[in-house]
Amino acid sequence: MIRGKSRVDHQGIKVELIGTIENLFEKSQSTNFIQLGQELEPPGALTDSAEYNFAFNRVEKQFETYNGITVRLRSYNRITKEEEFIVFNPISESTWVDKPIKMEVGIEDCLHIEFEFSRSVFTMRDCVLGKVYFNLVRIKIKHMELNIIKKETVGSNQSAITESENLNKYEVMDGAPVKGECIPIRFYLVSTDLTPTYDNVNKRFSVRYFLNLVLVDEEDRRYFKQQEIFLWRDRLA
Amino acid sequence: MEEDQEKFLDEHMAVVRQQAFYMKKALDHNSLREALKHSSAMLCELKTSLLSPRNYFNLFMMVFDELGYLENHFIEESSKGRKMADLYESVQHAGNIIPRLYLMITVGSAYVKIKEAPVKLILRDLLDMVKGVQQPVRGLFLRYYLLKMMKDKLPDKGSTYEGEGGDVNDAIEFILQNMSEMNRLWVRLQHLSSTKDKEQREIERNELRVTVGENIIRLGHLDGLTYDIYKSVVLPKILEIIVICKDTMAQQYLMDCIIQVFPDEYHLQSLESLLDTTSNLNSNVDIKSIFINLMEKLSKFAANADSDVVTINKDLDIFKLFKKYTDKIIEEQGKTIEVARLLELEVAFMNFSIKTYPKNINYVNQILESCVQILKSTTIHNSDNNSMKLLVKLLSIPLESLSIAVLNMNHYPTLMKYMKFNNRRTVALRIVKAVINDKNHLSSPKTVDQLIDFIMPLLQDDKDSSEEDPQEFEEGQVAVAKLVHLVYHKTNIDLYFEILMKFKRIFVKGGIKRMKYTLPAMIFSLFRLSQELVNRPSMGHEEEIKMEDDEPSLKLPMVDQVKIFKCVGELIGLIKQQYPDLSLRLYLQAAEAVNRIPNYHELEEEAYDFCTNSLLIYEEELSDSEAKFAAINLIVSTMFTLVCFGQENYDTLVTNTVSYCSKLLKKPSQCEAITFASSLYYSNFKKQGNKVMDCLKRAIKIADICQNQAKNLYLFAIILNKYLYFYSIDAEFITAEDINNLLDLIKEQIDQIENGSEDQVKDALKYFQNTKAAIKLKQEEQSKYKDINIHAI
Repeated sequence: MIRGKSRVDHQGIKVELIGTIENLFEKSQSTNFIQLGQELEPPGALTDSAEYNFAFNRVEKQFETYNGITVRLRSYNRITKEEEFIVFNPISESTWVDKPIKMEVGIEDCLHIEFEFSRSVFTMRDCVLGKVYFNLVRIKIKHMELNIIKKETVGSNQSAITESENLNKYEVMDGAPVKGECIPIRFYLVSTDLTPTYDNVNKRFSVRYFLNLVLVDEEDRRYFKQQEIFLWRDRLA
Repeated sequence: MEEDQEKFLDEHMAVVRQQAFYMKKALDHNSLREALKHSSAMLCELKTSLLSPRNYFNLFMMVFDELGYLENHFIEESSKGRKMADLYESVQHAGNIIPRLYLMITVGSAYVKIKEAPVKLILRDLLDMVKGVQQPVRGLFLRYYLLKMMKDKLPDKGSTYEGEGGDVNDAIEFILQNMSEMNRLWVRLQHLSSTKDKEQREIERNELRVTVGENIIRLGHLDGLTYDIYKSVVLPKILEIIVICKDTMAQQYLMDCIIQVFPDEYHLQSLESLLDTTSNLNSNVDIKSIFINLMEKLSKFAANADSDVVTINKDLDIFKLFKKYTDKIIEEQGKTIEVARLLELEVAFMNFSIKTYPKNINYVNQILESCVQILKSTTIHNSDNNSMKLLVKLLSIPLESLSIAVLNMNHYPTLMKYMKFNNRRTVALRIVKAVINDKNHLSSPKTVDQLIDFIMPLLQDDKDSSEEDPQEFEEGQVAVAKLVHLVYHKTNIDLYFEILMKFKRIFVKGGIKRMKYTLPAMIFSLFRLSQELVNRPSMGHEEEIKMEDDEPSLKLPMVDQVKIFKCVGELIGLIKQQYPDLSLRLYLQAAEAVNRIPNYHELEEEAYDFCTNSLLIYEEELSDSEAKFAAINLIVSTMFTLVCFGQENYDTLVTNTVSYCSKLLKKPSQCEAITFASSLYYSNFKKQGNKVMDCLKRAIKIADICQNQAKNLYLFAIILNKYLYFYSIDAEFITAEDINNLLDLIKEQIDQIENGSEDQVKDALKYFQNTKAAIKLKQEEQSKYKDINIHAI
């Protein structure tokens, strides 16, 4: 937009499509996985408003937008300013094999529980169903909660950094159960802000999710067990 | 501690009030999201562990009311097109379990109400999810809330939720499972760590029992709960819950709930399993009180039932069953617990048996036998008044329906021996009253022997008898007196007499105080017998008499009037010293009784004796002038009717009587008595007009002397009436002129009275007016009265 009768000289007009992974703490670690440019006008001057159509055809935007703790995946067009857009890639089927989660855990002579979740692979709108059996309870349990933990790994190999975040606190049991008790778990994933599981995006970062079952005793000691779950996007938000 | 509680409760309530306010405000602005946020915040207050169960209940009730508002709004939302399924899911996003589950139940309730979901599915889902609360108090109230919200939505028979929503079996399953879990939570409450002492904790725990009991109440309200379902599903499951929880308080309470809630017909049919369960309960459970409650409830049922209770379950001998289990308790616990507690059980059993089998003496006897067994093995302490009262009760209950039949029970007297004198006396009185209420004649000598034996504490003192309250004493003796009047025999007059003599022989040993009550009754019974004897003479010629009801035959002496009246004389003689006034009257009654029999001449001496005795008492024992006056009038009236004397005896009696009249202390009394006595010279027996006139003239003379007394007018009125009486029966010695002369005399008297202000004068004048009116009436009927000049007064 040219205002008034002014004249704008330019060194050519160019539009770029950039996909970038930024490391928020270590700028040098940032990389662009897409950088495409198109010349719209050779160097010269603009005296009037002009309109240019452009298109980046058949560019594979293979990575979804992600805004994490240490890493941010952004896709944007850049002309004179950045124009960001969101990339979501729903898929029709997950690549992970869905297996139920079954576990027996405990502390000898103190606590022995079994828990099971009917699935380990979920879409982000799914409901986590499970049960916790208390086979032995000798500690004074105050309550039990289910957490979703997000682990974000940036870099690879030795230089990889993993950050964890507890996304919620979902109480599944109040009070202390007795031996033989079975407590149901029903947790709607939509109640939590989640992304699909990302595995080694452009060899730069991964995002993984864990179910964390936590027992808290009367002295606020926490007994927990984490199990990875796999999330995928079956449709746009 | 208490202050802290109040503070905590206030704080929690303040938050609830505030959040409820915001919740409603949000609802008014149709902001469901905000409303849910505030309702969650409100419900978070129920997460507290600071409150005592009672205060937690108060807080709960407050929240409960607010949630009702929310539920209504959910139903409204649904009519605006909101899907309850979505709401049901979205409330489950809440991170805190307490608000989440309360909201789930609230939405679930609306969900069912608008019939978007079959109730059985919602019930199943909620029942599963509420397991998440394992903290006993919070869990109990959460489930209590669930139960309350769903109680009108259960797919009971005839309910609108039946059908797609399930049937009564689903409702029962839901309640039973909820009850099972609630009971577990309740029992667990005792282990909840707390600094408070155990006793206090148990008191608090007990306060929460109604939340568990509510389940049984709900079951009891189900229309679809048939006996078959009860017997095959509900009862076994509840009993299982009770047995496996192994908790004394829960077992005690829930057994009682079963007894109180379910219909008695069901109990009667399933009695065995109910009773059998008691053997599997904790040793601390008070099984007796369970039995007592059960038996009391069934007794009431039996008492009000239209049909015979026994027919409800023909195959079952209810009595035998109860007997078996009560005996078992006695056998197992007899040595360890107080006698009173066992007796209490037997009292309940007795009550039950009497109400259920009102005429079964054998059952009563069996229960009494059990009691004898109890008492044989233990001794009742002297101070154990409770046991004594229970024994009294035990022995009194059968009296209501069996009355005198109890006398045939061999264990009855055995049991009485275990009681203290005072208590035996109480039972004796109950027995007497029962027999009186029964109104059946006492005609069996054996029964009377037994009865006398039983009521001996009323009849005689004992070495351990103590001072009795005068009122109670009188009550007892009056009852005994009534008892005597029940003696009767319609066919055998000799036996009749003999039975009376059984009482007599005991009465005369009862002491003077008792005799005051018992002897008059006996004497009047003898009078009655005397009359019976007139109507149907003794047939016994000292021959063997065949007894009724299998009693051994015995030789009875023949009764005659002489025997009867000899006996009467003897009896009065026993009390005349202490009760002269009473004896005087009895003598006169006796004389009259003799007079009533046709062959009275045979008993002239007895009758003469009775009269002289009454005169002797008059002379020797009475001192009070009022009493003397009353007595002499009585003697005169009696004497007037008697015809049983020969000339000599009669003259002696009359002469004496009249002379007593003139010896009365006060002149007016003399005058009055002589006036009355004048009739003695003109009775059916003998008419001596001149002697009558002597008397009357003497009376007038005395009345004249009494002039200055106000009473003198009254005396004249009496004499006038006596004149009129003789005139009316056409006595030859009274003429109209005599009457007119008397009237003149009276007129003089009246004229002398200047102001008739005194009450006695007024009364006398009134008497005259009435007499005058009577004469006037007579004048209209009979011409002979025309000669009387009534205008004089």
